[in-house]
This record gives sequence, C-alpha cells and structure tokens, in this order.
Amino acid sequence: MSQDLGFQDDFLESMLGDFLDESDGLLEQLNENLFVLDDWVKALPEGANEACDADLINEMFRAAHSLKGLSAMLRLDDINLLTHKMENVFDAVRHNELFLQVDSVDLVFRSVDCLGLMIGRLRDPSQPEVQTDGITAEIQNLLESNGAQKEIQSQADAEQVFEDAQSSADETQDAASQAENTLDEINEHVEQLQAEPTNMTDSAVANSPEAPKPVEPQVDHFAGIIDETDIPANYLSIFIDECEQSLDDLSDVLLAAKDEKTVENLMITCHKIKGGAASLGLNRPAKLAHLMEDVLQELLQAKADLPEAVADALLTCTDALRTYVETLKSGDANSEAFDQAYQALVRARTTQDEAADETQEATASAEAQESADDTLSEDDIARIVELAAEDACGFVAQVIFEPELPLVELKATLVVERVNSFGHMFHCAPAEIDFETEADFTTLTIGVATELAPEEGAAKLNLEGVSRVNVIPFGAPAEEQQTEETVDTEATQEAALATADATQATPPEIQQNKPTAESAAANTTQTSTTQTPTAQTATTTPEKTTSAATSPAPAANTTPAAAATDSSTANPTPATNAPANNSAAQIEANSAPPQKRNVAKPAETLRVDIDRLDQLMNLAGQLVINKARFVQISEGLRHLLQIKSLSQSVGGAMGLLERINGDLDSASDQSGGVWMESMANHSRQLRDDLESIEREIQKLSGVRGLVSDLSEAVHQLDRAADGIQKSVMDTRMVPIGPLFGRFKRVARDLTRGTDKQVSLEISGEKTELDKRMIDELGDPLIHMVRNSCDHGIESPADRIAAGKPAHGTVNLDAFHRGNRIVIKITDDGKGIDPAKVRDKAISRGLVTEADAERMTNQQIFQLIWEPGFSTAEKVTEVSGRGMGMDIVRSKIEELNGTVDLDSVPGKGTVFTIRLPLTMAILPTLLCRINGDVFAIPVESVIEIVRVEKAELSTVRGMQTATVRGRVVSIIALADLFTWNRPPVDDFVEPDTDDVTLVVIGIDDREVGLLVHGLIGEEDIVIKSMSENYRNVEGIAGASILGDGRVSLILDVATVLQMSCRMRSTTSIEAEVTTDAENETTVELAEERIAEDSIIEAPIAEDSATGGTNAIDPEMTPTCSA
Amino acid sequence: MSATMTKATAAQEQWQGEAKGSMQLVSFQLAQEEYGIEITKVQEIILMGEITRVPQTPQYIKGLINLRSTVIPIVDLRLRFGLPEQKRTDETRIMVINVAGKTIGIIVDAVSEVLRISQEQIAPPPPTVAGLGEEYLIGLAKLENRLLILLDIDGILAEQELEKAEEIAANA
Repeated sequence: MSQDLGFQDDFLESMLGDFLDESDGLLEQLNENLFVLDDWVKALPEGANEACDADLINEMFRAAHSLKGLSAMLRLDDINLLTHKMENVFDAVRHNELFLQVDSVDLVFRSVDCLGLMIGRLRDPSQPEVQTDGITAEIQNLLESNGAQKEIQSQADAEQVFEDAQSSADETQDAASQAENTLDEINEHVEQLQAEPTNMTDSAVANSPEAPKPVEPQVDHFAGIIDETDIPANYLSIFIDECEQSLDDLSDVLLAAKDEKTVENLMITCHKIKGGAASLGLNRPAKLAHLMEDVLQELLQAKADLPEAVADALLTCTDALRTYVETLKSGDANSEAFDQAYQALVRARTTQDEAADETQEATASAEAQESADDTLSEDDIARIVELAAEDACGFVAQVIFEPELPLVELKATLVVERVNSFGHMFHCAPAEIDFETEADFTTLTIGVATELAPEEGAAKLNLEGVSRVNVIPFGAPAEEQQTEETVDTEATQEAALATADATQATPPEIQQNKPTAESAAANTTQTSTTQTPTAQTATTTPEKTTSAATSPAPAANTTPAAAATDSSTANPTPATNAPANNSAAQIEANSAPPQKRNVAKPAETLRVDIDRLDQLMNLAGQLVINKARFVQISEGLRHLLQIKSLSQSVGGAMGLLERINGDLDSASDQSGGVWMESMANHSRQLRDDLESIEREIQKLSGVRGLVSDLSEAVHQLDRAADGIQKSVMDTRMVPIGPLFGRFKRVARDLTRGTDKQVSLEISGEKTELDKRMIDELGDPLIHMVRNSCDHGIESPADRIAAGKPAHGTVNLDAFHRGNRIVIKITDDGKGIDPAKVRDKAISRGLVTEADAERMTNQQIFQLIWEPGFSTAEKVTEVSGRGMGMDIVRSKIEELNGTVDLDSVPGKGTVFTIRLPLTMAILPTLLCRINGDVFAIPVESVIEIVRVEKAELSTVRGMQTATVRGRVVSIIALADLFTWNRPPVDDFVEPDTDDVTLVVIGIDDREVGLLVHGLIGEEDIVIKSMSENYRNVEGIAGASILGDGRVSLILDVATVLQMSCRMRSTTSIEAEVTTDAENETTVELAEERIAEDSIIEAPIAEDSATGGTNAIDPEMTPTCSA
Repeated sequence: MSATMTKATAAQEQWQGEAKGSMQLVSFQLAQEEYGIEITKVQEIILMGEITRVPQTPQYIKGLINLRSTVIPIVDLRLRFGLPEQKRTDETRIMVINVAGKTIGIIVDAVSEVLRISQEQIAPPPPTVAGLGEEYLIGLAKLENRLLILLDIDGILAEQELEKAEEIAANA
C-alpha cells in the first residue's frame, strides 16, 4: 500500500475553506462560553475551588475537540497541538482535577486568541507567524501545577499496557493460529454467500456476527461496514463534487489507451476517493476504493499491464461508486451494488498471478501476530478503570487496526471522536497527541465512561480499518457483567457458519420475519425509523445469537429489542440530520419496506467568492437602471401616440372637404370656368391625401397596440429585475450577531486590569445586513465600543457616588427601521460634558469663542467627529488619541450611512448609526432644484406640499410656512450649497404664485426644501462618490438616471445639520440688525430654533422598535477615541 | 463615445516600449502648450458629455459623469492649472486616467497623438513651465521641432487629496 498522502493536496485544500468557515463558528462559541465562565469565575470568592457548570465545560470541550479533529484532518499541526492542550484543560476541569481561576480563564482566552490568529493566518498567509510555544507551555504548567497530569499518566499507562500485552503474546500465539484457520473457513462461507445471488442485503449481513473484521481484505466485503451517519452537509457536498470528478477521471483513464502510467494514475485516483470517503466516515465507498487500490497495487508491483478483465471490473466498481454518489446527492435511499462490484473485482483478480496468495498469507500471519498482542491483562484494566470517575460505568476498549493501515492516526482520531460522541474518554493510549508520531501504531487502548453497553460501544468503534475491538466493561452497567470479551474465534466461526447457513437457506424467512422484528423495534424505540438488520438476524437465528453476543462483532445483542435500541442510537435524529439520512436511508432501503422511507435531501450549498456576488449585484443594479429607462421610453411613446384627437381632426377635415367639394361642384355647374375646375381638382386631390393620411393613422393605431404590448413587456421586465435584485441581495444578507459577539471580548479586555465593571449587552443579533457592510462595520463599531467602555463608563466608585449601579452597561442593538438599519451603542456612563468639548474645540481652533457660545449642546457634540479631537485628558493604550471618531464617521459615510450621538451629562451617551438596507439600491424621490436633478431618499420625505407664496412668512430672516398647523422653515438648496458654476441650463426660477416644498426630516427634525419640479419616485442605484473622488458634504452619493445622466443624492441628515447651522447664524444676525421685530415673532423663532436643534431623546425610539434596550434613557456620550 | 484605446493595448505597447528603453505618451493640447502623459495612465479618451455639477467642490471640479455605469469626477485641467477657462469646442476631449486606484476624467483642449520617446529625449524640468510648478512635472521631452511637457498626473491628484483634508477641516 502506498503511503503517499497525495490526496491531501487536492481534497484537503478544498476542505480548508470549510475548515475556516467552521472554525469561525467554533471560536465564537468558545469565546461566548468563556465569557460565561469568566463571569462565573469572577463571582467566586478568592481562592475558592469550585466545580463549574459541567454543560458549559463540555460544550467548550467539544468545540476545542472539533477544532482539533478538523485541524488534524488538515494536518494543521500548530492548531492541532494548541486545541489539544485546551482540550486537556477542559477535560481536567470537568473532572474536577483543575479548578478554574481568573488567571486560568485568561490563559484560555489567550489561547483562543492565538487560535484565532493562526486561523486568520490560514486565510491570509501574509500575516505574521503565530508563536504558540509560550501558550502551550503555560497550559502545560497550569495542568501540571494542578496535578491534572492525566495525559502524562495515561501515556505511562499505555506503556505499561503494551508491555503486559507483549508478555501475554506467547500465550495467545496458539489461539492466533487457530483463528487463522477459522478465518479461512469463514472466508469460504463468505465467498459462498457472495456467489449466491440471493436478495440478501448488505445490512442483513451488516450487523450479523459472521462478519468480523479480521478477514483478509481480499475477501472482505461490505458487511460490517456502515457509513457514518453524522456527516456535515457541507463536507458531504464537497466530497460529492470531488468524488464525481475522480470517478470521471477513473472512467477516462480506464477507457483510454493503456500504458504503464495507467495503473499508477488509477491508483492515485482510487486513493483520492478512498481518502475523501474515509475522512468523512463514508466507510463503504472508502472500502471499495481501498479494494480497488489493492488490486491496482498488486498490478503495479508485478509491473503488469492492466488486463481487460480487471479493467472491466474496475469500471463496474466505478459505476457502483457513481450510483452511490448519486444516491448521496439526491438523498434518495438506494441500495448500491458494492458487493457485486466487488465480486467482479475478485473474479478478475483470481485470474491474476499467484502473488496475491502470498500476500494473503502474509497478511493472515500478520493478523495472527496482531491478535497475539491484543489482550489486556487484568492489572492494566484495573489501572485504567481507576482513572475513571467514581461510580462511572463504561468499558475499556482495545481497538486493533488492520496491519499496514494507511492513515492510521486519522483513523484513531476518528475512533476517539466516536468515543466522545457516546461517552467520556478518560484514558487513551497512545495519547491522542502522539497519534501522528507513534510508530507501529496498531492498537489503541481507550477507557470510556458511558451508559452504553460495551457491545454497542464496540460496534460503534468498529470502523473501517479496524480489525477488532475488544471491550472490557467495568463499573456497574445493567445486566450483563461479562468478563473480558476477547475474540472467541470458535464462537465467531460457529455463529458465522450458522448465520451464513441461515441467510443462505432461508431468504424468504428473513423477509417474512421482517415485520415481526420491526414491530419489536417500534415498540421499544420511538425514534427508530430504520429497521435494524441485527434484529432480523436475531429473529431468524435466535439460537445462534447467544454465542454471537460474546463476539466482538457489531451490536450482536441477544434480543431484538436491544438491537432496536442500538439502531436508534446509531441514527440519532434521522429527520433533522440531513446527511445522516443518507446512510440511514441506505440501511433502510436494504431492510425496511419502501413506504418507510423518510428522507430529506441534503441541503446543497456552494461557496461563492464575494467578488462575484458584488459583480452580480452591480449588474442587477444596472438592470434596474435600464428598466427605469424602458419605463420612461414606453411612457414617452404612449404620450406621443395620442391618435384619437388626430383621427378626429382628420375626420373633421374630411367632412369639411366634402362640403367644399359640394360647393365647388355646384359653383362650377352654375358659372363654369377653368378656375373653378382646377379648384375642384385640388380639392379632390386634397381628399385623396387626407384619405391616405387616415389609412396611415389606422396603421398607427396598430403601433399603439404594440406600445401597450411594450408596456406590458416592460412591466414584466420590471418584476424580473426586482426579483433578481432582491434575490441577489438576500444572498448577501448575514446576521449581525457574530459581529456583535466579537465586542464582548473587547469590552472584557478593556476592563481587565482596571477596576471598571462593564458588561456588554447585545440585542437584535438576528438583524441581517449585507455581508460587505458587516465586514466594513467591524472597525467603526470597535472604536465606538472602546470609547464607550473606556471613556463613557466611570469607575465603580464614581458610579456609586453618582447614584448609579457600580456595574456599567454598554448596549449594542440593531434593528430595522423603515428602509434603514439602525445600530445603537448606548452606555450609561458619565456622558459628554459640552463645556469640555467646547473648551477643547476653542483651544484647538475648531470654532471661535463667539461661535461656540452660540452653539447648542447638540452642535457642540458634533465637534467630536473632528479628526484629532479628544476630550480624554490622557491617552490610554485603548483610546484618547482622537482619531477614532473621525474614522468611525468616514467609514459609516462610506457606507452611505449616518452616525449621530446624543448625550446627557451624567446619564450616558447614545451613538446611532443608520445604514441603508442595501449598499446598492435606494428608493428616492427625484426632483429638480435650480435645474439640477436631486434624488431624495424616500424614507426621509415626510410630505410634499404646495404653498401660496403669500402664505410664507419671514421670521428673523428665515422663511417659514405653515403646513397643517405646523411651522416649517423653508430652505433653498442654493443657500446651503456653494456651487462652483451656474446651473447647466442657465436655469431661471419660474415665476409662479406658489412654491413646492418637499418636507424632509429625520426623527423630529424637519425642514421644507424648496424644489422647482417633481419628477417622480424611482429606485436608484447608489454609486459611491468616494470611489473615484471623495465624499461631499450634503451629498450621500451619486446615481445614474434612466437617461444616463448622473444625479446627486441628497444626504438629508447633513442637509438638516447644515440648515440648522445656517439658521443659527442667520437668526442671530437678524436679532442684531432688526430690533424692531415684534416680540412674539422672536419668541416663536427661538422656540423653533430650539426645537430644531435639540435632539430628541433616542430612547423612545428604541423601545418603540422593540429593541431590548436594557439601559434606560439615560445615556451619555463620551468623546474621544 | 469614442474610446480610442483600451487598457490592454496600452499596457502591451508600454511593454514593448520598455523593452526598447523608451516610453509611450499620449500628448494633448492645453492653452497653446503640448503636454504628455504616460500611456499606461490613460484608460480611454471620450467626448465631452453632460457633466453634473457638484456643490462644495473646488472650481476645477467640473462635476460627475457616467462612464459605463461608473461615476467619475471630471477635472478641468485648465482651471486646475490656473489657466482661463475655454468654451467647449469640437476638439475638447475628456481623458480618462487611472491614478492612485481612482478613475478620473480630465478636460483637455485637444488630444494630439500617441508617440514614443526614448529616455535620452527627456530633459529635467525647469522650475516653472507655462506657470506650472516643478512639482507637477516629470520633465521636458524634446521632439524634432517642439517641446512636450511631461505631466506628473499623480501629483495633481495627490494635491487634490490634500485639499480634501483641508476642506474637511474648513467645513467643520
């Protein structure tokens, strides 16, 4: 067997991506659990040794373990090592060998960080290498200092075990040679069975006792091999893709002309399939591929060409695999003809040279040798059992792998994983960490604490490549307290013979007995959807099963009921676990009547480069633009084709002509004359012309029909375009939860080393955002959370002095609001002191003292967004340099979002980020202002009103209008914006009696924007201005109109701010210049200014949206960063 | 739209040019002077279309155009260099150039030709040429009977970046 691991490169590379995806989730889970743990540890009295929540630790153990398993599969040694260490820690903790302290939790935190870095490095190899030595050493120290040296112990044990085993080897030598004979006999029978074209199904044999592993691979078939049932769907789909490719290759090579490379190529491909299948636990195809590989290997060694017979047999195998993959894909249960394929292979092979026999013998003797080693002395067992927790019951299992098994360490990892799936492994020799380095790795001794009966456990561990499993139960398991269950070869042989006979002789009986077994199973278990094959065997040959029970073969229980229980554990949740259904379904198809099928298709997924999705999104956007253009064109055509009036006027002209003709006729009759004659001719000609015009008009009404067809088609296009756009968007939406989750860690780290107590509360984590947006938001949010924790929340002493709970809270919330997504970061800290900000701004020259005096608090708060602005007195390692807030704002603005803050000194601060739902499409109102077309986001448009000019009033130099009882101030864009050139069309303001106002607003602030024409509502595609230029104040971006022109999108929030700013200056000027102003007006104006500039309490909004804001409205700002 | 050259051919030609120790330039007219820009910077040359003006921008930013669904800013090079503005003529073109990861259009009086010059033809720039500071110039290329001013178009944009920062500060 070739030991090259070439399959890794292709197959594992493609799995790396999945590993990365998966690991994110696991790391996150680890982090989350750590927080719980952290809180728990912190709440402990100093130095207390208390056991913590076992479920929590188990969960973390599993996460670390999964990471370990995955990394082992991918040969990521660093990660493997670290996760293994972490696993040890969790393991020690859950056995109360180690008691967690603040320090140890911190160490775990750092380990998780380290893992994160290493995984990050897999993504981006340019990142610096991560040193894990320090951390692993620390963990080791931790474990050692706490006496939790389980690993070391177990290793010592293992050595002992092996020594003992060696000493007893001699004794068992005889038994081994006996076993050899037995095996030969079994083989004969098995071959007989295979030759028998009965309907005996795979699974009928599957759990029956005559199919123990220790037969030579040549004659083995798929009996004892059951596919894993819990394959993650994403791996399965990768395997399917990969396998299909390999099968295609196989067929190609087989069908192509043969040369010396052929055999080698075939072998490589088979190896690839085997590796892929085995790593997923699809043991049946792995086995077949393995056997194919064997055959090829022999050919290669013999330097023989590929004989036709073998080629045919290989093709049969390829087809069988293909069928198998198809069934995997469809999730349809189908019994695959592996046995037949394999028989074909065997037949082809027997025609080959005798070399095979020699190999066979060699293997057999190796096998015999192996069996000699495999007994555990009672001492060893006692020693292992001692390691188990008190009152635990379970068993010690010795897993013996097939000799020369490739990838044995992988197999062993699988076994360990298996063990962990049904119990707690407290002993493992050789230690898991040494799997890869272990030379001559053939035996794995494990101690398991489990409720499971030893036989069932043994059955579970009997994976492909395992030649035998010996189990020794301990503790107080239920009924059968059996002694050592080593291979009773005699019994096995007997059982095998008997069962073989039975199955051979009485296939109809099996069929008949099925329902009985089935109902027995149904009675004992509720979840079992599949009928266990063992039950059948048991029912058919009850007298034999007693002896079979002592054999190590899978799940040969004494009663059908027990077997049924086994099956229910083996296939835990057939309905929910899609991939499980594949194998479950296969067993089912083999044993149960077809109407019992209950299969779900595995969810097929596809990983897509996000750039492609971006491109798709872009194209969808262009489609939307083009659609708008179509709508315009068809509207235009409809207007142009007002044929009705045209045909009416032509009709009128015709009538008139008739009359003229009549008059002319009578006139010429009376007076005669050449002139009259020619007049009559002209008029007749005119009539002819008119008639042809009428005909043209008739044709035009045909065109009209076409135009309405066009409208219909455009309507369809409209719907399709919207659908595409929506689907593309949905594809990109991911929940914000994981992003928020990251900040828990930030908050924790920030408060470590200080006496601050901050907890981060998260709500709305299910809110979905565009993936790109999530990626971009990490940076700004981290700044804001830091800011809130570092500057917002005061020290416990200060908090208590201020009458607040010592424990500060920072709340992160996300929710949908109309067409926007709102993210709020709320803290209940000290708030921003406007005076401080003002002073700082003046000292930095951002505002003049006079200006600052006139500014409202809200306006002052806006100053914190300035680059380099910080009110923090000292720069901490966390924040205070004043760059953060600027970064936050520019980042949010890049996303076409806005960020606001509100703060009540002493109460807290609220940052509100508003983001568009999508980064691409925005429903807007298009209107014309001074000849330019502007798009105003519809969500900010409150209403559109037409006001008589006469009704406008001027208050302190500001125009206002009364709209439904409200006083709305009017702004002209020309006053807010500074243009560097006149409008294109030399726009002249129309001289009308009334003006159109678009009342725009966010929250409670509103202004009436003077517009000169309304175009209509349109979905526009947002084009970033900063992509090729930069952001412009008051403009949220650009978009391309249906006619191809560029229009600007108004940034309503900024426009409101600008108008606010302008108003405060205007009104003050007005105050200075016009003292004569009547008192009431002044008051009104002041009131209005106050209204406009004060920011509404953001809390009301929160509760309205159902965000679960823990903090009450007392928020406070904090500035700096 | 009259795209006269594509990026691909431009890159290819430059490659050939480098092989011979020479460079390719696109030359254009601006207020009686002839300028040259490295061909690799030039994405395409298009006709003047309608430009949407943008508020709060310096004088020389004419506005935005739609270049095949991408919005790009247009810089009037005359105004950028402090030259008097000129009415649009039949010869007026927008050169779409790629600088510092951004795509912008520059308005020039006319685009003349694509030419190849060798390194020996390039002389260091004098302190000022046609009112332009040294910082915008790579050098002067001496052709048979005329001089070509080689523009450092990156510098022109870089300064624009500077102004952006200043403007943000001013707006605050």
